[in-house]
Amino acid sequence: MATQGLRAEQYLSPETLAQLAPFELRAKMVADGVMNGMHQSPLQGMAVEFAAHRQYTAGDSIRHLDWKVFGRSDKLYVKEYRQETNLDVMILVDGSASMSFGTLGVKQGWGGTDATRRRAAWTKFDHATASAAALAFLCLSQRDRVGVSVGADGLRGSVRKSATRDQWRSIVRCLSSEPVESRFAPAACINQLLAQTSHRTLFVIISDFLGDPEELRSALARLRHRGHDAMLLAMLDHRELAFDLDVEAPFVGLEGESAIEVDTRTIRKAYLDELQRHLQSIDRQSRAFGYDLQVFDTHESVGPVLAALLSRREGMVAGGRR
Amino acid sequence: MSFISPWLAVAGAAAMALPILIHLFLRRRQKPIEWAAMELLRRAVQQSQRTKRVERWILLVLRCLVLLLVGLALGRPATVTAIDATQPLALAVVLDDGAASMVSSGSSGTTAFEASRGACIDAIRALPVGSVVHVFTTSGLVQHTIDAVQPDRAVSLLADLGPGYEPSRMRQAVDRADDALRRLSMPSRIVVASPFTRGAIDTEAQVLPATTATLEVRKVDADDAATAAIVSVVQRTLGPQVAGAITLDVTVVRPVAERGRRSVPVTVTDAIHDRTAVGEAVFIEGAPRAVATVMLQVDPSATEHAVVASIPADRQPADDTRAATVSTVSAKPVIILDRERLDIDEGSSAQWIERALEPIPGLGLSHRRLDPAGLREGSLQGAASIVVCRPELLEPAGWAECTRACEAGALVLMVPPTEDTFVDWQVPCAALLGDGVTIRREVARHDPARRLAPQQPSSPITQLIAAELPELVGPVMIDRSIVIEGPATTLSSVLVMDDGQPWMVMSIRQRGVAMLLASPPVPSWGSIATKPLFVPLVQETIRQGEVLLDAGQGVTIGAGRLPPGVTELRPLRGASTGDAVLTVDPSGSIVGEGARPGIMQAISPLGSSLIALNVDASACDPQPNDPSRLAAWLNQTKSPNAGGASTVSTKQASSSASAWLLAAAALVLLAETLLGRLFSVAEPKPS
Repeated sequence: MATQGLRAEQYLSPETLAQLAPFELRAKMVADGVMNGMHQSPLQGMAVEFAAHRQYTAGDSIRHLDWKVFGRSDKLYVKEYRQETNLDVMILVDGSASMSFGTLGVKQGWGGTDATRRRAAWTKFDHATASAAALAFLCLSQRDRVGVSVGADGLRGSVRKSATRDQWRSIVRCLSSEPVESRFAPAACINQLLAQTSHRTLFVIISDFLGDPEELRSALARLRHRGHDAMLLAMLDHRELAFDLDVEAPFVGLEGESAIEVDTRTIRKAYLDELQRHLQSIDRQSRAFGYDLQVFDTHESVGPVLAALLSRREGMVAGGRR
Repeated sequence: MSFISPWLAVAGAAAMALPILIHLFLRRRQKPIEWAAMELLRRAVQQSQRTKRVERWILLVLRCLVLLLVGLALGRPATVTAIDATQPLALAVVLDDGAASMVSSGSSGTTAFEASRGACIDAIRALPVGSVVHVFTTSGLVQHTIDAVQPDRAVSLLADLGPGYEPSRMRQAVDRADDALRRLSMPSRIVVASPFTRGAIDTEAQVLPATTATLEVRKVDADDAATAAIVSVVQRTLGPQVAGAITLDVTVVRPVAERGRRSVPVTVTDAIHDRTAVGEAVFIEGAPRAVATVMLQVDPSATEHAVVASIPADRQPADDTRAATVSTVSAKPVIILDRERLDIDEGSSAQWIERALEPIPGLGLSHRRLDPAGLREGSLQGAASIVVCRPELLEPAGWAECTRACEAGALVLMVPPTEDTFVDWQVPCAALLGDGVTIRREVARHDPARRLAPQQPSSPITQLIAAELPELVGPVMIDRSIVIEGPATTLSSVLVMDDGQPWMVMSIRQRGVAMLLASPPVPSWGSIATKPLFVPLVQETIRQGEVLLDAGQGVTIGAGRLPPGVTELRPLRGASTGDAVLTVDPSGSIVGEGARPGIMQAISPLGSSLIALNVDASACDPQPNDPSRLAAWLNQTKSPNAGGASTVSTKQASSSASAWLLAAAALVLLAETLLGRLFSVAEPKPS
């Protein structure tokens, strides 16, 4: 079994942990958890943190009346409190064949996914796995519930949301064992996930997002419609980002696309322009729904980029509270 | 349009395919690359690849064009001109007269010179009325022999011309003829008549130059006898007599184009005592050089010999004069500067050197000791070799005498003192070796002992023992040595130690040579004195001193290195120098023509001495001559026979066309570079 001998440090280096330690994964939206956590809950009532005053209406419990206000103004106001709750996080990792692309040489003790075994390189799927593992670790340390799904043309492997101690290991095991093949259909995967989701959830979608932006937009629209939050982590290899090739050769697609004769020197600028346009389009879509997009270079460490994303997110949440 | 060098034009056209082949080769080698972002790639390709492909094709065409134009320019476009038989012409005939083999008779009984002259006369007789003729000869300094005369007059003057005996400079002659004709306003033509056998052109003339005038080449028939040239004569044995004979090594070279095995007879003559010996130089398959070892019987009572080596005239290469290399051989005593031999100095440097000079008692060189402290002016007069074994005992007058003797042509071999008594002998010793040479005061002690390097630099001292040298230097250990430093222009290493430090150095001092050992040949400084290397090394060094002294009395014809005061040169009996007495002007140059190699009696107010006249050895070097290229060129210019010549060609090189082609190539190259830059501006560099 490929997952035998799986070690946490294969995907979660001490440096990454150290870089993520100051951050908490905060949902920008109001969480709908059932256990006490550190996220806002829409359920207000007895809690430690005062939220607001509201005029008394028939049916409200008189236990929450603010008698001091009544004494001063002769009006009935009810005190409301914000309840801290836990967050549900579902990580959807793109397991399509395009994620098996990678140009960084793999070192001893790195990776261990199906893509690594096939390509003998640090692939986008490996980087996605490392990012997912880091996020899962962070959530579990906050006592949030985390689950993971590997998606391609539909959901393949899944680990249900849980905050148990063994959850992280189950997540990594799932990612390590799933094959990386076929095409990614984000809408179909999201539909399947939504069918399984009852609480409000933070969806973390990790993919290269090289597919049709329209299909992604429809998936994100469904998430928004159901009131979920989402983070988009775009995994791209350094060579895809820089296109630092100097060859004239046929290029063949990993997802069965036909070969194209390409002289990289002549199309470099056009390719980089196209990539820029594509990423901007996805960024625009995600921001339209209030979601975050972060591009990851697979030749760079997971920690700093993830830390930057969390920092930005934390800032936005804090700003929203104020 | 035709070409002077059509194969270069063809090569240029063929080279045009090179960029295309490289392009195709690189394309074929590429393996498919797997890629994830195919949709982006497809859109990028649709957007820009078509434009870029057109740009790259433009660059490829320009590159091909550059190669084609350069090839055409190198091919030297020429126009074949039809000459109007009735129009008066200015004709320059270039007659090849500069070769000894030009006078050798072919199977027809006519010499190559006569055939060439006949071809020239035929060309002149065919001229229409009103034409003028110039005649150039190629021997030695190119002679404008006949200047603008009527054809009949030119024919009669040509008939009186004889062959020259100096290297033929045909290219130079053709250039001069072209210059002379360019000044005239009438149609002009150059006729070159030569057998074009190997070496018939000078070493620079691989092919004839392009000319403004129409150039006509007439290749006359001549026997193409196998040829060779003598480059050196070296006395093999030390001393004048070993069983009443001296052994001489005569080195002979032959043209590179000749590869097969053959032999050349070599005759050695003692010009003083009229003795002759014959040997044979045998060239093995493919070898350009052969050595004939000739033993010459001499009078045991004679102490001086003048030796002339020669090969038959018809076997000499056509582009040099009589190829005799001359050496005078004498037995001159070796002077060893040390105190008289005492019983207590057993094992001194002088004793080891004396033993090396007479390994077999009675057959060695004559040598004598002189007290270095008593050395005065004139003490070393006539010495060929001086070995300074006790430099610390030499007075300033002694050093001055050593310097004078060295500059007069002697070899001075200096040996450090056996004890570490380093007084100031290093300073005059270094001064004798030359400017910039220094000798450190400290002795370098080697622990473990140093060895001599297995691969030694080549030097005249070790030339004859070069084959055995790696084996001979192997057992030698050096325990102590002095450190000698100096500029490479002054000092050259004869033997070096395995760390690269010199052990035996030499420097040329005017006509002589100064040498220094880094350690004295005594067992306390190293093992060299007791090893087999020592005897041949000492003997070869001393012999080199004699050779140098003899070479100092040799003169290369035309180089003007005659000793001061010489007023005339008289040929010595037995030497193949002709009978003419040569006059020498005050500057030391030989006046008049007819200087031929051989032994001459140099007459000066102070008396007479023997002088060896030699040809320049470099003129005998067969390396630059490439007859196959000339033959190929002649084959390219075939046209109907005329005037008794076997091959005639008429071509006029268009130098302006070549220039235009080169200019066009430069322009295209510039355009290619500019377009290349322009096209690549839009391509960002990979980050």
